[in-house]
Amino acid sequence: MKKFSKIIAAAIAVCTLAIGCALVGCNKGNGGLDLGDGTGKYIAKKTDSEVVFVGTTEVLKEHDEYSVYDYMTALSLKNQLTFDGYTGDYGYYLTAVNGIAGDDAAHTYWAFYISFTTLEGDDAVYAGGEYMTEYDYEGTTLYSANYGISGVPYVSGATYALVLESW
Amino acid sequence: MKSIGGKTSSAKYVAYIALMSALLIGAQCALGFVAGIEIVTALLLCFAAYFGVVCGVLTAVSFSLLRCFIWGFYPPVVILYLIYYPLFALAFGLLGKIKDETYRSGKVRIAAAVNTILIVLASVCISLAVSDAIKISRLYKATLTACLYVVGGLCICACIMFNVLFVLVRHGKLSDGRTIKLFLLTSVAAVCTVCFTLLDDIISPLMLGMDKTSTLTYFYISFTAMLPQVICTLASVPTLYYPVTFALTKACPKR
Repeated sequence: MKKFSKIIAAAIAVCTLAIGCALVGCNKGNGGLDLGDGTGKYIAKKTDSEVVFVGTTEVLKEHDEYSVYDYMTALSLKNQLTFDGYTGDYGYYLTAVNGIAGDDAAHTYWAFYISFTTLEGDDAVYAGGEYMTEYDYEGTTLYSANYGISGVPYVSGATYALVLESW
Repeated sequence: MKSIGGKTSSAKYVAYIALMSALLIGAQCALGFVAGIEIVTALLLCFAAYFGVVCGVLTAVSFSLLRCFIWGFYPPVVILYLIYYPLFALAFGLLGKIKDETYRSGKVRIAAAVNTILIVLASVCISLAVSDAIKISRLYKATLTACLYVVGGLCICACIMFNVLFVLVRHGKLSDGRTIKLFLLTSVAAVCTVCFTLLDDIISPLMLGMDKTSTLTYFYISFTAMLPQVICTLASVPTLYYPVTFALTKACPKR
């Protein structure tokens, strides 16, 4: 009986470890993107510290599970944009865009703005709140996002901006 | 150093604390690139349970401060670690004092504690998954729901297993109380892991000056970090507790 309980305890531990690893594995991987045929004519690099782009199916076909991170990956695959960062517990942390990195010592970081606050059929608030900041791009008002680039869905026609800001 | 026996010299305990702090930082460094996977909980739990409250709390404080030299001094994180880990070590230092005889005799209090923790955790997870109450980005929803069901399911399985073993112990058909002890430690560790994220949900918004909407979004997103960590705790504590305790017994015998 003693041996039996040890075997069961070990089996549970191994199973939970396997499930955990599988779930973590499922959460990753942005390969196999359904790329569009175009080269992203809507991308607009205003300055080194301001990058604005409008989601278009010419760069990436629209799928429910695609994030802005996927869209930026598609842009980088088409040599339109480069970016760097790392995946943390709360999603992808963007550290550099087009070779320009945010700097803790200089108190700068890449802020992320989006042109919508909520999406139809979705109960999440992607931008909004008392301290929300705004960014204007050619008459379109963009709002500081509540999520990082891996948490905001890619929507064709929506405008996104990455702005190097101080804190 | 009264609570740690007084037989081994204090210098040795200082060395053990330093060694364990280094081990914890090494473990966090090694697994830092894998989101949701960590063994700091399991290692500190074993150490605090083996060496007691004083050594455990000192190790927790030392680890919480020294890790900042690698990951930076971010006030919300420093405060979170300085509150959470010493309390964690305190809890397991006290749990480690419970004699094996208590587990073997099948005390009803232990069964009540384990059952309450597991049933509450399972109920909350399954209720959240079924009610779709977490208003999170649609990109995270499927993973989050799956995680909620996995944690809920694991807690139900653990609860059934525990009660079967407990009945066997009570009827004298199983004399080994070690599995009962493992269930108690794992259950408390899982709750502590949940508390870590909930504490962060209070400290970070307060210190970063977040408004209500951002705080709520931060709270919802934190589930994506919390649930893999709970699953990891449910796996790592039962897997590592006895091997690590055995290694500690051999390497650092308490005379």
